[in-house]
Amino acid sequence: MSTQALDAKTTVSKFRLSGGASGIVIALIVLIVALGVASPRFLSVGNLTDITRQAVFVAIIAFGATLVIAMRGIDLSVGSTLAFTGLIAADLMNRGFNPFVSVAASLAVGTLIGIVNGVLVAKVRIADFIVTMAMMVITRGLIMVYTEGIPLTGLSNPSFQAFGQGFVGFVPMPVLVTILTFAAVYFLLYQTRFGRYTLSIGSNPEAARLVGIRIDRVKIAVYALTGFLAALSGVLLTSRLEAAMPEAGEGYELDVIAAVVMGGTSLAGGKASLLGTAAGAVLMAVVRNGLNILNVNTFWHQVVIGAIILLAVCADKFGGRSRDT
Amino acid sequence: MDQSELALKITGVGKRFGATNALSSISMNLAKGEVLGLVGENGAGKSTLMKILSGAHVRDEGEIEVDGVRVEIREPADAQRVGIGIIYQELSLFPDLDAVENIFIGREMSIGKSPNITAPLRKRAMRECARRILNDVLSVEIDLDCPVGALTLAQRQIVEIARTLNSNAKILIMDEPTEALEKAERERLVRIINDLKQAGKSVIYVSHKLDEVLRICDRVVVMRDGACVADLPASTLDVNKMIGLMIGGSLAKQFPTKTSPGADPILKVEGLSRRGAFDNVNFELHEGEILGVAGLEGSGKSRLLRALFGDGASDSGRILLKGRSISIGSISGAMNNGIAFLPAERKTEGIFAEHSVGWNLTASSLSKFGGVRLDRRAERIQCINHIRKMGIKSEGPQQPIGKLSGGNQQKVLLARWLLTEPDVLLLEEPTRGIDIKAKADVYQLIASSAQTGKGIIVVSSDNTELLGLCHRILVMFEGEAVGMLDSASASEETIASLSIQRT
Repeated sequence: MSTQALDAKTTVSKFRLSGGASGIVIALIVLIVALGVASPRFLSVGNLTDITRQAVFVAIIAFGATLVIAMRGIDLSVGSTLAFTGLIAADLMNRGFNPFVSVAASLAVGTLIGIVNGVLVAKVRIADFIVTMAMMVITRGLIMVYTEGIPLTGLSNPSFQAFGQGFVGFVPMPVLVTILTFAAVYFLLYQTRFGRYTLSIGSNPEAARLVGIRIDRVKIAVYALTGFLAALSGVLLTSRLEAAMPEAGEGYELDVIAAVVMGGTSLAGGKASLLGTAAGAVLMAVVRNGLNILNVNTFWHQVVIGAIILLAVCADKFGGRSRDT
Repeated sequence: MDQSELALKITGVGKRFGATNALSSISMNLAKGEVLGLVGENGAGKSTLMKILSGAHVRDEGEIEVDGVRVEIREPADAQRVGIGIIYQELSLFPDLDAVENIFIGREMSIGKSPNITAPLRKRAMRECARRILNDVLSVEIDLDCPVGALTLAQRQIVEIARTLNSNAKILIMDEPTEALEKAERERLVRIINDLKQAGKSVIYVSHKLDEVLRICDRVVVMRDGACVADLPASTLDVNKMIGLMIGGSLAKQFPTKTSPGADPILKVEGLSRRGAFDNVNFELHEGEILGVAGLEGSGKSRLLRALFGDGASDSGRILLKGRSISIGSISGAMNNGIAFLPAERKTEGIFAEHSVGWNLTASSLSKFGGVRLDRRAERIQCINHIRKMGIKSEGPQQPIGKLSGGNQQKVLLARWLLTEPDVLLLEEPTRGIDIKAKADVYQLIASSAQTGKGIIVVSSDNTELLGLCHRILVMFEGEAVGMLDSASASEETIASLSIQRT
């Protein structure tokens, strides 16, 4: 019986890696091949590195957003949180604080924004859409008030620069951070009670309540995690640019949702594919990069990205919530 | 009876939900100016039949004729068109609109010959017409300018009747119309029904209040298990006869033999009250005892059960678990005290449909499996054990629970709670919507858990089930515990008459 049990167990984990994400992986491969044929420049090492660098900032946030969406929630504040926390790190360093202290403070603020979102959603019971949209506007407004729209530059501390620009072996630091984040969120989602509870809430909130899950706590924790990851992404971006840009992360909320939904996590909640999300984030970066390489007018980029998001959501809607293997 | 006098003729109407036969081949007539009573226990099929007539469900077979003409009722608008109006138990008015607006909702009078949706409304004419229906036809005074949300329940019901009359309904269906009314208001409703009858309208009157049915109705149809079991003039019936017809048959052999409970009380409830839900409830539950709770929908039996699980607090009273006074403020608090609860609605309150049998089985006892990291191997072994022990037919823990039959899903949910090793097991409608074979299995599982010393409370609307399964039965009526029966000496008649509390 035990071998049989093990067999079944491996089948289950295999499914998790392939089944939910298979569609997006195929789409990604097709797109890469097509772009490679269309433009030889696309497959150059330099360009592929560019794509990866672009993808990581969305990917890190999207890992958190995967849990939010799997819980039937939504978080629109992530792009502004990224910029806001990036600005805090930069500003503290410019005021002479140690980079580690500055980064820690920035991460704490991101987490706090997430907690505020979570409390308003779970305890005060305001619609997540409204709460996080208001938070998005508030934090962006605060950035503009403080910077008057001018980027904050002059971040010359080498250990801070290393965070976004350095390498470990031949792996760029941001990519390494992304991989570690993926591993940590993967563990949380699939190996812990917290992950089970998150998916249970998305699957059937009433049943989740009646099996004794403290829904409000789990919700707050999930929003807090997403706020933390938005801050992590913000710090990386600031370090990479050596500047805090007031308009950083604008539109990220949609890229993040697109990455998650294309990756096979249903907006109806209950199921999540973290690997799919990673592939979705890469796909978004490939699309943007491909449009650049093919010299498509930048004004068209928004049209294409918007259409992709609508397509992904329609596919989610009409593909239904598959309950099969 | 002359065919031309028939307002409604139903022939061989049937309806299935999945594998369950909700209605099988129902035939009945309704004459013009007749008031027909429709009675039966919960789940006998009354509501399903009324929903078919009002277009909320579509029948699978059979024919419906209105005024001698065959009609197709596929949606509520069809019912309205052929002249069938339903007055729902839960009122379906718009609380922010006034009486006139409610009466004319969906059929507003506008200026112009063929007015479109943007044509100006003829407010004065509508107001006049509403006043005529309310004052002249129904002879009641209602403030026409007041939002109906601010009216009393009885007044709102009258607005609803006026709305149905305004739609030119010839057949009015009233589903438990007096459930929430005071005595004087009931009298007024009886008068209105008589007036409607004089005006040649036909009424189908669905109610649990059997004495009222006898007084108001000309004829009574009794339903049981989705079929008509009697169709008799009211003058030939009395309440006991009707109860006998509603219950029918006798206890089947599907129940396990009862073993006698232990001497020690495991749970003691003293003066437990919650305003508007239940009032001053007292009982003791012994080790190994199965206590049934009977009562109509809205009698407070479910809210009492859920309060014991920390879902909705009680205002006053004490709960003693093994002699120790406990306060149950939350679901997790109840679970920490060793209380488990199986909710009635399997789909919406029980299963996580997109997940596996194993996931569903361990959902309330995950803390048993490892610390930070879940011990999935231990979890799996427990699942396999329980699947075998409970006789759950599945391909194993990894199978999606949606693929299982209702009965097997119910066993998974029961296993979910047995896995928490509770002292007290609260079961709400544990066999609702599962087939007879699975019912017998669930009864067996409940009885064997009782034998391990657990105290079990079963809330059910199926009195046969309560008598067959439970040691004692608490009967609730309007929030009060009106009787504690020993199931060895009790009968369905005694339960039914206690829960109906006829005077």
